[in-house]
Amino acid sequence: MFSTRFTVFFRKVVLTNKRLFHNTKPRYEERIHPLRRTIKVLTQDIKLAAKPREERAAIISNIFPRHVDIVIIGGAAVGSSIAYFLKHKTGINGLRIAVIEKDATYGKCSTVLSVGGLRQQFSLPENIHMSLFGAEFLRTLKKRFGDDADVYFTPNGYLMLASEHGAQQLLDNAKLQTQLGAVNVVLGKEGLKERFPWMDVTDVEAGCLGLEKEGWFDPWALLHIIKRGAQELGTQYITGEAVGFTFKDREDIVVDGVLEGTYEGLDELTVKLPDGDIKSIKFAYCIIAAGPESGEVAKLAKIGTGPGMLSVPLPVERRKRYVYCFDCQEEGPGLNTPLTIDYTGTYFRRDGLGGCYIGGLSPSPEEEPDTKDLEVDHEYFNERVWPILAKRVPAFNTIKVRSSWGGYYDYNAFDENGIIGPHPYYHNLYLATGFSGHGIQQSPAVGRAIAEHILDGGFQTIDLTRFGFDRLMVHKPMFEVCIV
Amino acid sequence: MLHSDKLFRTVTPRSLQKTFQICFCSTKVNDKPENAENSKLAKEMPKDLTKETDIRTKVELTKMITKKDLQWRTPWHEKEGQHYSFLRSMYSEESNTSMMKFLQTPINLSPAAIKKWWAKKQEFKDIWMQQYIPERNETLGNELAAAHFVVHRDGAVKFFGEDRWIKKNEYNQYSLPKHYQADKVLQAIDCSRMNLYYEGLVNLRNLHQLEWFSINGCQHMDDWCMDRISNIFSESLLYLDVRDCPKITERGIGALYKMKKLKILYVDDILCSSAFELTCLMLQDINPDLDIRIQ
Repeated sequence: MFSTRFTVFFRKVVLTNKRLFHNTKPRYEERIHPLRRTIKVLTQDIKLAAKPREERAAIISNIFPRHVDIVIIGGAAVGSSIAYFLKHKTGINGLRIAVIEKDATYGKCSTVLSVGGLRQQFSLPENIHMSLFGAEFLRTLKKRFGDDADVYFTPNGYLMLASEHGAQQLLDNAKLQTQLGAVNVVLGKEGLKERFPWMDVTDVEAGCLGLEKEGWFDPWALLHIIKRGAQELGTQYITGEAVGFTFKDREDIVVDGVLEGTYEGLDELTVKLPDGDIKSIKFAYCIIAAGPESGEVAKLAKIGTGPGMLSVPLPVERRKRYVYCFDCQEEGPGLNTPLTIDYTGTYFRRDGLGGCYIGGLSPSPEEEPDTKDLEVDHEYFNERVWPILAKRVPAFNTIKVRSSWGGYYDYNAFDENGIIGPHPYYHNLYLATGFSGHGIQQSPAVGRAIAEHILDGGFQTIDLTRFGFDRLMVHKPMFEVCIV
Repeated sequence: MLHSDKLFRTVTPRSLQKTFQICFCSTKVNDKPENAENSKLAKEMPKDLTKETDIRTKVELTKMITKKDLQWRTPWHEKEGQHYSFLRSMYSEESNTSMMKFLQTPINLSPAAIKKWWAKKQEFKDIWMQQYIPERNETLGNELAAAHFVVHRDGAVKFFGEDRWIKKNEYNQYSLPKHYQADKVLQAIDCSRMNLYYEGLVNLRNLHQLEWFSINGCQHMDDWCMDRISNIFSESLLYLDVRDCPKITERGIGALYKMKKLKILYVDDILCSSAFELTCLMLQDINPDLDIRIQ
């Protein structure tokens, strides 16, 4: 009798109201008796109190946190920069921040494989402002991080060349850049020939040379400095891979654009540790700064696969780019070589002082290479890059490729610019990804912008509203002319 | 949090009844762009455009996008029939994270911490005092403004046509004109052992005929300053002295390729590292007239 009543209850109440029950994956933790757990925590605390301060900090940083204030998925330049600025604005004891990084050696990370350029020659004011702040940040690095912080900045400038078609756009861009604080000069054919006698300028109409605050630096050093700065202020770096989110029905949340009572929010982040353990972290805010993997991480949060607002996917995907390191047998361009970007998109710069150069070219959409590994295609250099280099710089007719490497761009297939800001559906999810090749110079500005948005409620210094996820919803792409 | 306030709302189950009266935005995700003009433009564009003109149209469209375009949902307080309650006047929009951080940092009264705090304050004050003052340049013109700036801070200047250096004496007096004089053009600036910062170099812009410049012994000069110096004095400088600046590396010296007329460069020690030596040699390759000296 009891059982039939139970089955009737089950059929009537439970099955019809299925959505009242969690449909998330069960947590992979064994259930500990609360009393036992209390005693365990207390004994741990007493033992910890007896140890000296440094050891205590080290032990605490090794304990996997069950809940944090802010969790950042991705611990490279952008992720570490966000963590640093959040901690900088709130102090050591202000926020509890965890940064989840899949690969502690940063082997395939876009940051360390990048060429490390810094330029203000963009066509969008937001990009220019972000680069200017990047330059300011790099200049005041020693003040923030101590006297031994150095990114080996080489202030040689950028030279963007334009053919007849693009000359007007170049002039407009240069005007906008000087208005906003960049220093550059537009040179005609004769000016270019005079300054850079090693260049062939027959088909070049104009070139814009950056005179100040442009050049290149060591991105590995920058990553290391910001990461150490964030860790010294108390950020916890966890080596693990984000494998899922747990969701929670929040009937009480009313969102503009979502049907009443159907809101499903993010509750916890599930992380898989290197030894196979799966644990979850409860967070107040989550920031996706995972670079090329951001598209996959966003899918874990049902972005792109859910209903309504969630059906807009995050269009960030991996694209492989090659960088070739070659040296010139003849008298190549000497000390006065800026990072030269041809109007075809081919770029090269001096690397060190021994006649060594590095350069590359972004493939056209038809030739996009496979992204499953970082193998380099040498044929691509011989067929596509070398002819253009040899045409632009006659001395490059005799060059020998010494080495090469491949790296991933976090390519934003929508408009090749960063997606920065909160997600329209989830009130506790932020995005800072999709920079398509110019992320490293914008990482300090993005870190500061996200920190301001979380802590102060809106962008305070650089207004990046136009770079938000909302532009994907209303389909207003922010195109940038100078993408390399 | 402050951001979620505008677009998200949490209601208790009791007030769930009232929420049905709130009209929610029924904007579908796959809506056409709101701006009808843009969509018309897209339809009328011919297919056989070259890549460059395509980019120009894209750029024009991008320029027309404003913040308002991206606001596809109205915040709750702006909807019909909504208003902020009276209690909202009790708190402010701006959050005060800096005040909270100040209250939360533990007070450190050890002598080392106080010394560090004082040094930081002094540095901030020094940088603040060296910033660009537009009124000074408007009244005096670029040359005299730069001269006043340098001499006030224990430097020395020399004008064309005069053969004495102007420096302040022990009573902090110096004789420089207080109004614009067109014939006073700076020939040489000596900033030796001055407390000059990157922000202070802004005051030395637009000196079109400066030939002699020295930052011997300025402790705060680094590669970024060399970048700036090589740009602002690129046309006319003949002599540059950068001895005794510990923060300048070979990359800063390499930036001097922008100075077309440089004849004499004084550096500390060419042989301190091979990279430094190589940079100097390469600089001489580009600029054959250049003479790099140690003493």
